[in-house]
Amino acid sequence: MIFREVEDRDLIAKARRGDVEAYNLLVSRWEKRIFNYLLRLVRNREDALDISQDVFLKAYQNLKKLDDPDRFSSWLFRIAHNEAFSMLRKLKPEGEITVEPATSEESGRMYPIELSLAVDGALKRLSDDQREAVLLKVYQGFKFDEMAQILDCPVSTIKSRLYTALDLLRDTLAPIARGAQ
Amino acid sequence: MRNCEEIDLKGFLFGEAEGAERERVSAHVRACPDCREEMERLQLTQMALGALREEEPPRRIAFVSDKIFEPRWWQRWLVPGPVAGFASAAVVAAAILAHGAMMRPATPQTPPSAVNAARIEQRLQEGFDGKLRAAIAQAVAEVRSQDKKERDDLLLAAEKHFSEQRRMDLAAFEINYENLYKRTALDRKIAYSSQQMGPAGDGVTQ
Repeated sequence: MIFREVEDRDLIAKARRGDVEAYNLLVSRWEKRIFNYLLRLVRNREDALDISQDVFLKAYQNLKKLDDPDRFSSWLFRIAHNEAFSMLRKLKPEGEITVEPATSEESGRMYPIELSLAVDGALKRLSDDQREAVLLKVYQGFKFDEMAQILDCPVSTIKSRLYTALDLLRDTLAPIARGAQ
Repeated sequence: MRNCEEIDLKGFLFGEAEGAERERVSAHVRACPDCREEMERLQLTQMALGALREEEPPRRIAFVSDKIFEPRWWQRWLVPGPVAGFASAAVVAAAILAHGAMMRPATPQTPPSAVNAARIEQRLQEGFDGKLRAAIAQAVAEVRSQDKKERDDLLLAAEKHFSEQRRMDLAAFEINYENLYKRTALDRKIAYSSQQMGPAGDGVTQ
């Protein structure tokens, strides 16, 4: 991980000097994570890909504004967050919460693909903010302070969103996961 | 033992607790049946969330430098290094998609100073289409030209052949005509001689 960070820093330095190939290498390292984060957030593959492209273009154009290259990942996810929520705000009225109850069919023994679908369904029932907190913590492994930078809000708010989401997910998924064992 | 409300099981599970705090939570969970049960449910939740696999992006994202917009050598002298770098950065064309491609064109919302990826892709496509059309037109023209030449050669050969045939027919006709003329003249001479010789001559000619 340390070696990877050093290399990213080197690529960022080259990209800042106008080396497009260095930037392409950087993109290739991060595009899958950014795409999956956006895919779970906006729930549409084409939208996720379009936003991914915008994210990397904006990142390139604003690379000189990145003060600390070691914070590239959280800075990049911050751009992705802004782009995604810019689109989500256009699609949904402000403050809409989409927490729905679990359905009865999500119980009993499940196979991996069914478990995966159940997880997908459970994530969809979270609000956008809650889902994003789960995506950043569980799937991207960010620390609370990094999430606070990405989402531009206090750690207490991050923890509140994440823990509420985890409670909802636990109620839905823990019985299913136990049945799948 | 600490109070259960003070124990951050979720933070512990997702790597926020470190050092002594981690040890404290761990000891509490071992000793507290309720927290142990809650930890087990959270671990099952974590395991379930892990069932969701990452997907590959349908198209790769890559950038190309657009030479048209890059600063000229004298502009590089006028502009300081990092700024020059970002001058070209501002004009870097966006995402053209490497493999798989071929789905609907992306429409990134880029600022006016940036070259839109879809436009670049469209421009490349138009350039490619133009070259393809020109190549096809040239190939068609070459084939047509070749066809015409072969047709002209055949026509010329046929005309030559018929001309030669006509010349030979004419020569044969002239020979036949001459022979016929000579034969007729001879016949007239014979007939005239027979008339001069009178009736006795008839017996000769019989």
